[in-house]
Amino acid sequence: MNPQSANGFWLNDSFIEFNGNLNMTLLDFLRYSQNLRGTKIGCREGDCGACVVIQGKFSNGNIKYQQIVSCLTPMGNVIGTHILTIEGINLPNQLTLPQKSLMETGGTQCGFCTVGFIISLTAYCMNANEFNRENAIKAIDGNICRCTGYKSIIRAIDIINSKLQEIDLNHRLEQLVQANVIPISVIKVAKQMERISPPSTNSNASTVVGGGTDLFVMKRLEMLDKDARYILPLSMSEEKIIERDGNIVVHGSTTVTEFVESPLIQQTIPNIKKIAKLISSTPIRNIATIAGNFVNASPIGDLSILFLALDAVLEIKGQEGIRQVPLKDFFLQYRKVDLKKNETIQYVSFKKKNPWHLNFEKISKRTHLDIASVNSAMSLEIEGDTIKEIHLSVGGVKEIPLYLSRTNQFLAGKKIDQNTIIQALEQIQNEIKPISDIRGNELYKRSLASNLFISHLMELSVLDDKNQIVQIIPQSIKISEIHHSRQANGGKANA
Amino acid sequence: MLEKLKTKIKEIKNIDSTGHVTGRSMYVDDIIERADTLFAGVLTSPVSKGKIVQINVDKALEIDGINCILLATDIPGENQIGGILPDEPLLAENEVHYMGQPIAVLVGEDENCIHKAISLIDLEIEKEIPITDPKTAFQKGKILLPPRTFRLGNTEEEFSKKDLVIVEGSCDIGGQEHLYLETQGAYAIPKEKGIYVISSTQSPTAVQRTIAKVLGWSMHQVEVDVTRLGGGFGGKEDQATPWACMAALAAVRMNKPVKLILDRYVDIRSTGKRHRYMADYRICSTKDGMIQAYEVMFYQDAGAAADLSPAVLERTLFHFTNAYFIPNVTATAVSCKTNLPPNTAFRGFGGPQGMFVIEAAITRLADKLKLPREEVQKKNLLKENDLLPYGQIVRNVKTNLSWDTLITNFDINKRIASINKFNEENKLKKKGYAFMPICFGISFTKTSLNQASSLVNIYYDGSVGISTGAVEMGQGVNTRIAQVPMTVFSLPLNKIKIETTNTTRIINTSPSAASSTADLNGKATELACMTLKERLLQFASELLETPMEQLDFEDLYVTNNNQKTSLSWDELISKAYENRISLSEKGFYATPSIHFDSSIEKGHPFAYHVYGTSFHEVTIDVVKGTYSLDYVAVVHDVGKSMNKLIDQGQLEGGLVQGIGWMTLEELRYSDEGRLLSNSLSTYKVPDIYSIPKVLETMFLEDPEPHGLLKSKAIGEPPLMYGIGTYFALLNAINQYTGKLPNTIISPMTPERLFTFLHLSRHHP
Repeated sequence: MNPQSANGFWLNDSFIEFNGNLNMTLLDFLRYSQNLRGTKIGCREGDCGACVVIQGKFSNGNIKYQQIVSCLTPMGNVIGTHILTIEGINLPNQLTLPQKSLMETGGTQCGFCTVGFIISLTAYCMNANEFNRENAIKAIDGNICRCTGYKSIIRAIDIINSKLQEIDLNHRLEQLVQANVIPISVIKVAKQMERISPPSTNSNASTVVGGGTDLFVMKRLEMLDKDARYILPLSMSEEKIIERDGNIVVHGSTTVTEFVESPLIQQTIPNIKKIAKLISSTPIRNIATIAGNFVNASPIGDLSILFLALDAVLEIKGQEGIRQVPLKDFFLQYRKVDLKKNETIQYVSFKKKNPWHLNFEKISKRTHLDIASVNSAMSLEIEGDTIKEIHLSVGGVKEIPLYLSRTNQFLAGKKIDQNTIIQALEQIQNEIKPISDIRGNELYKRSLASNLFISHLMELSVLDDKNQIVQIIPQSIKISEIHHSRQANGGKANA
Repeated sequence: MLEKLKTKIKEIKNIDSTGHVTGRSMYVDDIIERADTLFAGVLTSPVSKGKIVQINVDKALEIDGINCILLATDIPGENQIGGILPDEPLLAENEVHYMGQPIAVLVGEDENCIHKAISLIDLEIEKEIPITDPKTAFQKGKILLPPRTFRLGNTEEEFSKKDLVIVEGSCDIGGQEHLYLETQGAYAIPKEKGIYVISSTQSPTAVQRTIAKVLGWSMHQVEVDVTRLGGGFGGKEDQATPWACMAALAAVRMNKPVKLILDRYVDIRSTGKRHRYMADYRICSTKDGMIQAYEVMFYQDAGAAADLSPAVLERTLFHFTNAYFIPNVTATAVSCKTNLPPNTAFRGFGGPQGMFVIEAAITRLADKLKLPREEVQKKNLLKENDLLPYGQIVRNVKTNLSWDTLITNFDINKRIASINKFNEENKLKKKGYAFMPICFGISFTKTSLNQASSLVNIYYDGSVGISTGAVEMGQGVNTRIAQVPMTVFSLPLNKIKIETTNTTRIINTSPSAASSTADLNGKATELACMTLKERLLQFASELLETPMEQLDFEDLYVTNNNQKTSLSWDELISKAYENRISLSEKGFYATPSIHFDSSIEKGHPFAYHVYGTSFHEVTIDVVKGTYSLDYVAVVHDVGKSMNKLIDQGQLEGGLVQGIGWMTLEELRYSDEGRLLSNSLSTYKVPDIYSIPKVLETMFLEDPEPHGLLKSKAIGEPPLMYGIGTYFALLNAINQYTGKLPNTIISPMTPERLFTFLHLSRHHP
């Protein structure tokens, strides 16, 4: 055992020297190299939570433990951290508090998803800033159970919370050991973790891996034969979100969770927590990076849409130095971005406002942990009754995450009334060109893009007159229908 | 004292739960492989219909680690896995009939080499035009069996009468993917005298029989063992079989253990689902809403082979009037053959689709009558001694009782008043509500399947091992069965072990299905336990020199007139062994007095019916076309509950699965028959945020003589409450648009809701 080793990590109570393939997923490593089969395979795309484990990371003098999906986590992102699986959570002669609670309430039926729930609930105990039902439910928002209908699991949560009210968060791990949530071995490892020096990966590979949450869905087996560069371990000790010259500057490797939990972000985007709840799930948010979402360039990428409405600018670093690219110019074609080989997104920055008036809407089949049919974000600054600054973006309506330049231009300086809105709806419909697919047909997406604009106006309290909206809705639909027939006729006017 | 013990027994937790929460419960893929184990993967058809021109595996065989690739021609026995009809090959031969149909089994050292080899198989298929919907299939004469018709009274005469209000319409009810969290899989290990197969199946005997058939062996050469399933829901009743056959085939060929675990994509793509149904109906009633006649035609999408579709179709016919009495009915149903994976059993087994259509018909009838929907529903509920269309007279009917209890117990009228007030005050948000009563028949509709065996072994240290044909898949059947010896012998749980389900210990088992597993296997266990009890008390009466009638068991002792004696359970058992008294007993149970004659479509197919009523409240957002499920209340008939925690779990789990089917879970296929919602990222099942915000439940308790320890089956019935959520959403849409669609389509995804609200001119 050598805790100083660069290529190693803690697995439950033991230090593991790892010299294998860094592109192997943690899930495969656990199940097939270590024969730890309490962690289950459900979907291998981060959508079920049967494979979640807890990862402890040491940064800024603290260890933070949180749940991650092991199916999308490559070993390259495990080096230098502490992984806890169910085998490392179990107590020798009794059940832990989450285990006992779930059993008491009948929160386990076939049992296949259960370990995932226990892990997520344990991570919640190790991580929540307050023990309440809402936080606990959020902690299991990435776990699917097909048997129970979840109500019994919520009853288990209530038992857990009732037992944790007295916990002193300043001595959390010790107190959680006393409360039978985790074994003492976790603390022992946590103390030794402080002595692990940051891992070094000096690869020059052109494949840069962030959280891996998209890459390992698509190319798990192919990645085994590739060379990749891991940036997350390197950034572990950096200050990721800072204020500079009136701007908020966010390091590209910042995870969604880090972004959302930053006090600086919460100050400038007060509704960020509510927005983030709509973006994937806790064990994905804990590893998915901001820059990764941009580079992935999904036309429906939630973060891309959000940052477009923040009028964000990217700082891209390459061999020839650093260049700045507005995010709205970054997306070129379907899944093609303005990023050369060996370039990486170093930072993304946006203006610090006090605060941003920002609304984010996402329509998907399932409200949470789903990919949108259409998503949209809008930020607005109003002076008197005219629009001073507006940034509206829509996803799922073109081959790239779309910043509605012409609509935004049109609206700037306008007074908001019914006439303006109708004209803006026309503009929106001109700028978008959705296609019918699994996430919805073209007319549905068209109509949503318009209606979400109206929702933004309602949410940002620009449109309060309900009767006015009632009148606008059928008009909005009608405009969408006209553009729908135009698109069907190859763009020829047919109104 | 004894009563107290009995209460305690009813409060035991799921006996598997300690293993589940600690990760120690084993599923097929968790078994640590023997060192010489090989792995298998499956090449499936990339097209929905076509002729196989050639398959060349030469290049694939060159991949390092690949041991062999098996085609249809490598099957030593019969290439046939069809259960009801012999119409399904294990591996495609000459033709393919659906996308995802297995063609070849690749055997190799690991997943990676198999993955590489699959892409190197040269497969040439001459494509043909597939059929992807049941009505088209019907029009083209593609049906599995002739249509079946259930009749009561005379509908034609009734529809021709004057002064009746008539409504006609159609339904298109989407299917449902099981999405058991554990994918299909098996591990086959060659043995000296045959093969040993660990399978994730609801039907160990079907797996055994089919492996024997495919290998050209006898059943006694095949031993199938099942510890538990990571969810089944019907999806592993028939469709666990092919994968186990492939593993066995490869294991015998290589003479090495072979493990075959499907990855999620193959599982979703290749396995059948709950059937999509299309239906046309007409219904008529008096002006005050008394339904006089109902005619309906069901087109079932059976997929490319029969599988269990004819049986599923039959259950649709048993449930097409749901919980209502309609004096004149004619229902015809037909299984249509399409080029999609063969559809199969799924919790409810055709019943839910039958119920959906009558609910749709009543919804539109009430709208035309300008009566509240619930008024029409309530007026026509089944009453004691009513005659069902298939000839069974209903007894101990709890339709009105559950309805009335629901209204009073949960103050539903007040809730409806506040919903109405909300709708008057709001234009951009609308609330909707619906009642959903259910009446579900319990027993396999194939009478011969209603049999079960149990083997109760008492070891001479006093511990008890029980084997039955029941498969544990989360429904808690092992716990219920364990409660039987606990009750009969008054033993603590630690004295009892429920063994794996194994075809050499319990033979010729029926599938764990039809909600009947605990009733059948539990009753068989009860019979065996009662025989042993009598034998043991007889012996105790000799030892204690006390009349046997005064003796009983309590808390590990023999009692005499309820007074503890000095004779303990352990001592009695040990002495019984010394005195050469058998401590092992086999129980056999066959449900009495059920029968059905399909030549006249009349009989008494069900041991009993399960009843209940639910109420559903939703809110929709008119601008965004989204919705929230605000409230569901259920009053459910459980007989005399033998384990409330398990019953509660089945009620809530079934309800949410039903809601999922009716709302989020959408199977979308391309015109070529490709499943587009083929992963968890596109096929959405309920997560913790998708469930009703408030769920209130209540059990009606009334002992059921045909149920295990007077309880009633609960596996399937609660699923059908989920239909209520659909009609609550439809009601909310109607509040905004003022009209109902002619064709009622499920599921109610946000897209469909938006379309119904705003775009109904374009897409139905």
